[in-house]
Amino acid sequence: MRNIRKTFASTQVLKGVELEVADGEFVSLVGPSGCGKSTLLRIIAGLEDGSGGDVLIGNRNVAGIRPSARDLAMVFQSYALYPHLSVEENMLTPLRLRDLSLAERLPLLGLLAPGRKKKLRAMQAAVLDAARTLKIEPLLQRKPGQLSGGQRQRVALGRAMVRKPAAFLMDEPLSNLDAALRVHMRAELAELHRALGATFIYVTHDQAEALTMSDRIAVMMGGEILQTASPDQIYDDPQDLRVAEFIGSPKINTLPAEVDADGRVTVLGRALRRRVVGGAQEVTLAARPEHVAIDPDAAGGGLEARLIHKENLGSDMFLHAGLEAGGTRRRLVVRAAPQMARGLSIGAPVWLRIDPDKALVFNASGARMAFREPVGTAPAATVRAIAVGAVAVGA
Amino acid sequence: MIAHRFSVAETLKHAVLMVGALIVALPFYVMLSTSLKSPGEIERNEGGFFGAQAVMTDEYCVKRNEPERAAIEAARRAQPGLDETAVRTALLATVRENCATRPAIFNYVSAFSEAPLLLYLLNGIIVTASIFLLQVIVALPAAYALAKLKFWGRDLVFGLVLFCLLIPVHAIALPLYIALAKLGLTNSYAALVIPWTISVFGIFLMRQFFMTVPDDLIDAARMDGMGEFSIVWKVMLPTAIPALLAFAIFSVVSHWNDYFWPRVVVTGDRSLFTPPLGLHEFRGGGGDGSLYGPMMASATVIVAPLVVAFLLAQRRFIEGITLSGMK
Repeated sequence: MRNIRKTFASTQVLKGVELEVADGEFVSLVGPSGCGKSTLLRIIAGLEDGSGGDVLIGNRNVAGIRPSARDLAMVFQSYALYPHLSVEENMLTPLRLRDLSLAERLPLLGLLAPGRKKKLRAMQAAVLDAARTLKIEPLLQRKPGQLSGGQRQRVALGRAMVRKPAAFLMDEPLSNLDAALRVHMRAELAELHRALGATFIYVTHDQAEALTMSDRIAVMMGGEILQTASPDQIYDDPQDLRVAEFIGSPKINTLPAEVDADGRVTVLGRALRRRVVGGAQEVTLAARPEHVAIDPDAAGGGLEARLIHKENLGSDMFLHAGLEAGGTRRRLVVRAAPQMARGLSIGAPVWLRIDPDKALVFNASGARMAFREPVGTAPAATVRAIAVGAVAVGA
Repeated sequence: MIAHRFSVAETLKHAVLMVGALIVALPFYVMLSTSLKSPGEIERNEGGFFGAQAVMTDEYCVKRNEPERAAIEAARRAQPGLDETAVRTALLATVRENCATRPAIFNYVSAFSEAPLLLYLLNGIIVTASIFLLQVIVALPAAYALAKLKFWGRDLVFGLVLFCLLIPVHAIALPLYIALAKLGLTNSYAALVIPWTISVFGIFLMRQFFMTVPDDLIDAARMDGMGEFSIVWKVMLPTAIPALLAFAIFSVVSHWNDYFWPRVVVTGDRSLFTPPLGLHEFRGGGGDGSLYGPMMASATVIVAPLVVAFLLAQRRFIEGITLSGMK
C-alpha cells in the first residue's frame, strides 16, 4: 500500500492533510484529542466521507468504495466485538462475509451449496492460525463478555488479522487497558507488526505509544499534520514548538529569549553560545529535561533557580526548579542522577545550565530556527536559578 | 448481610406497597375464588376461597338430557306396571345423577364448552404474535436509522415519532375502521393486526436503546462487510434483546387484553373472537346472569398465559420495564 493522500479544503476538522505510508510501515498518528486523527483514520477506512481529497491504496483511488472492499481491517478502542457471538464466530465473521457468497450464507439452503464445506474449513484454519499467534486458542468458545480487557483486545486484533488485510487501522486500541497491560501490549503489538510485516496505521493520543512502536510518527494538531518523521527525529529535531511540547514526558522546558541582528541568542540576559539563522526577534528557547544540567553552586555559571519539587522515579530523578524570567516565574524540569539530586533539599538554590548544542529555538509563530554552524565564541548561557525541588522522571 | 434496623420510613414504604399490592391482587382473588364455587355459593357469598366443593347438579346438563318421549315409551315397555310419570321421574333421576359434578369442574368445563375458548385463545396467540412480529420488523430498521444513520430531516422524523406517541388510539379508531371497511377487511385477522403493525412506541423505545450501542460496533460490522440491513438483524437485534423483551411485554400484554379494537372490527364472525371478546359471551350467556362461575373460569384461563409468562421471566420483565424507564 502506497500513497495515502488526503486533502481537505473545506472542513475545519482536517485542513489539507497529506500522508504517505509505505508498505509494511508502522505509522502513528499522534495528537491531542480532537485534532482530527480519528477522523482521518475513519476516512481512510471509508467509514466517513472526506469533503475533498483522495485516498489511494496501492495506487487505487478508493473513493466511493465500501469499507469492506478496501482490504483494510480496523481495531477499535472499544474493541467492538459482537457480544452475542463466541470468539471464534467473531473472528469468522469477516471471512464469512468476504468469502462466502450470499447463497452460501443462507441459513438452510447454504448447506447445499457446493464447496461451502471446503471454504469453511479454510476459514476455520485461518482463525485457528490467528488465535495461535495471539495465544487465545483456549478462549475460542467463550463470549466476549467473559473475557478480560486484554483478551478482548487480542480477539479484536485476531478478527482483523484473519483477513490478512493490506493495512491495519488501529484507533487507540490500548487506551482501555490498564497501565501495566498497556506497556506489555505495546511490545506485543510492535512484535506482531514485525512478524506480520503488514502495514499499520495507528492512532493514539499517547506519545509514549507512538514513540515506542512506530517506524514513523505523524504529529497532528488542529487538523494538520505538523511533522512526519521517525520517533528519534520527532523527539530530537521537532520542526514546530507544538510538536516539541507534545512529544516528550515530562514536557520540554521553554524560556523566552531574544535573537539580535547577528543571530545571537540571549536567554535571561545570558548569551547562548550558538547563533541562529534570522534577524533580531523574540524567540522561544526550548530544552528537554535531560539537556539541562543542574549544579549545586554557581561555579558552572548557571542560571540561578530554586528547587521546588523532586520526583523520584528510581532510575532517574526529576527536579523542578523555579526561576524568575522577565517578571514571571518559570518552572523548569531537569533530569538529574539520583545520587546528585539526593543531596539537594527543597528550597535550596541551584544553578541550571542549558546544553547549547541540544537547545531548540523557535520563532514567534512556533517554527523551528536552525542554528548556524558553531562559532564557539560566546560563553555558555547561564541562567541564575534557585533550586526549589527535584522531580525524578522515570521511563 | 447488614443487620436491618427498624426504620419508620422503610416501614411506611412497605405498608403503602402492601396496601397497593392488596388492591391489585384482590380482583384476582375474587376471580379465582368465583371460578371455583357453585352458583349458590357465589350468590350467597359463602364458602371461603375454595367453596365447599359439594356435589351439585348441572341444570343445563339436565335440561339438555331431558328424557325424550321415545325413551319414556321404551322404559314403560321394559317395566310394565309403572305409569308414565313414575317412569319419567325415574329416568330424570338417572340423568340428574349423571349430571352431578363438582362446582370447580363444572365452571371450567362450561368455560370451554359454552364458548369455543380454545379457538379464542388461539386467535389471541395468532393476533398478538403477528402484531409483535410485524412491529419488530418495522421498528428495528426505523429505530436503527433514527439512532445511527445521518440523513437529512432525521430530527424532524424523530419529532414526528414523538408526536405520534401523543395520539390516543380511540381518536383515530373511526377513520381506521372506515378505511378497513372500505378495503373490505373488517372481520378478518388483517383488521385485527394491520392497524398495530407500526408501533411508534416501539420505534421510540428501540431508538433510545440503539443510541446506547457504541458506534464502533456498527463500524466494525461495516468493515467486516455487512450491509445496513445485515447490521440491523445480525448485530443490533441480538444486542437489543433486553429492550426487545421490554417492548414485547408492552405489546403482548396490551394486545392480548385489548377489548376495544377487536370489538370494533369483529362484528359478526365469532370464529375471529379474541379472548376478551369471548369473555363477553358469558355476560348475558345464561340469560339469568348466573354464569359467574364459568365466566370467571374463562377469565382465569385467559389471564393464565400472561401470569405464567410473568412468573417464568419475572427477572427479565422487571429488567425490561426498568430499562424502558416507563410506568
